[in-house]
Amino acid sequence: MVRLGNGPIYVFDASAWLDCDGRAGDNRIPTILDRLFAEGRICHPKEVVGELERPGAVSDWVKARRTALNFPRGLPSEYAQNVGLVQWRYPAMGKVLGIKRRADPFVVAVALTYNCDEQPWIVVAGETLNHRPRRKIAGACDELGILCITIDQFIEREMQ
Amino acid sequence: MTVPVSPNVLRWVRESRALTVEQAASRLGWPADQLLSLEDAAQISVDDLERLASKYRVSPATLLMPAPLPADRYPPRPIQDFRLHDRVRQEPLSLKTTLYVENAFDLIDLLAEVNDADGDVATRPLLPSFALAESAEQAAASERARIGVDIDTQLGWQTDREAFLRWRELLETQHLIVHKLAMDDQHVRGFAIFEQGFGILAVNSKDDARPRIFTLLHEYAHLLLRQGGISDQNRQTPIERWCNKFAACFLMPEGVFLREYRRLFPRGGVGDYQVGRLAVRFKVSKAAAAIRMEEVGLADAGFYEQLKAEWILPPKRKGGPADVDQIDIELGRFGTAHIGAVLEALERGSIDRLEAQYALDVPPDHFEALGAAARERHRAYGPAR
Repeated sequence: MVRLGNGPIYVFDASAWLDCDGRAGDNRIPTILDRLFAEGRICHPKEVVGELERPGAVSDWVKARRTALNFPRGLPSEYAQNVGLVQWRYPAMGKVLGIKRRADPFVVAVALTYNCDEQPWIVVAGETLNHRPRRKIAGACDELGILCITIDQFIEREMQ
Repeated sequence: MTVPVSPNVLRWVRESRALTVEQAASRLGWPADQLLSLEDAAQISVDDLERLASKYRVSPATLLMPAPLPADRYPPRPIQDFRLHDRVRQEPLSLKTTLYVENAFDLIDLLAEVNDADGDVATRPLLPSFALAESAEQAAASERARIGVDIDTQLGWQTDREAFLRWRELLETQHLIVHKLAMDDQHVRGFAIFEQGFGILAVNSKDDARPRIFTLLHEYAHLLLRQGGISDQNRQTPIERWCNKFAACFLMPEGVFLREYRRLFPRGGVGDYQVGRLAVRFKVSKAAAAIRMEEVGLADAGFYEQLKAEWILPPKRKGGPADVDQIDIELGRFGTAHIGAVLEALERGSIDRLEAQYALDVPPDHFEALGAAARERHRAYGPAR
């Protein structure tokens, strides 16, 4: 079992990072991110960085730490199998034959692979179940038994 | 490092891209034997996985799937291929054009899903439909009247570019999505898709503006027939003939065409010079003008074929001007209807910024500028209110 820092691990999707960028005035976010980063409790698969094309405060924060945030390193077998499984179960989410490399199946697969009772792995995505769940990370997480939260919920949890 | 793969999946992805073993091996820079043995392997290296994903233009996640997707979960997107150049069935579509078609279907899926979830966020076009048995000439006349462009307005457009943008805007105002894409395939002029009530038509940006205008109306005719497909505008298949006839009658109504011919050439004459002048006047290709001269009885049958043999086509341009920025490129590619529909869905919270980024191919900080450029384009070239 992989264990990063103590406490829940947050796996960020690109949509969550973009949501952070859209809240540049919220000074709680950098404080929380800096703390979680120092504790080793925040990560994303490397595919997420490819989706952060725009310059922005949080995106820049992410890009400056990209190698440190990337998880897992390489393509471990169990993780690779889960990436394929998620892509197969949710083809509309991952764009099976699309050109662009959507990070969504990688994000879900990270949490699916490493989530355990002792240390929950929680997906943070800038989306909810309200819209088109079969296409969305939140819908996949819900079916796979992974907790998926929004940025607001993430802030609320970590401000406690 | 190796990862487990299903041989069926590697083969399925290659075939979904319409690549033979030889074509795929050539793209990969591998001998065909090497690819075949890889397709039978249960484990491949991460380097090979990345190379396959890159050359097949799919996510590595797709290559890692445990099995191919059954057709009911990812139905194939068949598009009729009307190409028949010189009576010879053409090679399969290039990967690039296949992906353009795939993207067009994806956009339709997205808009249809958004509408299902949130009501009518994206407006479906209200297009009349015609049957192949109906007269293309009458269909063109009735559509011209419905869209409402009078001939003096058309003949008053100053440049080929202006004419293209005006025609494009007229179609986009009807909520048709018009793409302008660089298609490499020999003879492919464009494609049209009508699915789930949405219509997308695409023209080849490698063609000059005047042939592109004809293609625009030719593809529009495909939508009116509800017979989407890949076009080369050949004169041998019935649907292509109907669409050609529609475009010619639409752009060059017989009465006006004859009137302009007589005004420009009071002493008559039929040859390359006359073809060229009429083509410039109506903002169509010389080929379209020559065929129209035959159709309206100004030239004998075979006139176009005879001229065609004499024409040496200018080399196609490789791309747009160097000083065009990304906003202009995306506006040219996707057009105002596509951009408007995606930004409207974003504004109403039906899609998130990442989805909009994928649908528009620009990062979110360009959305505002892209929306403003689309509105400006519509104001400048759209129909007067």
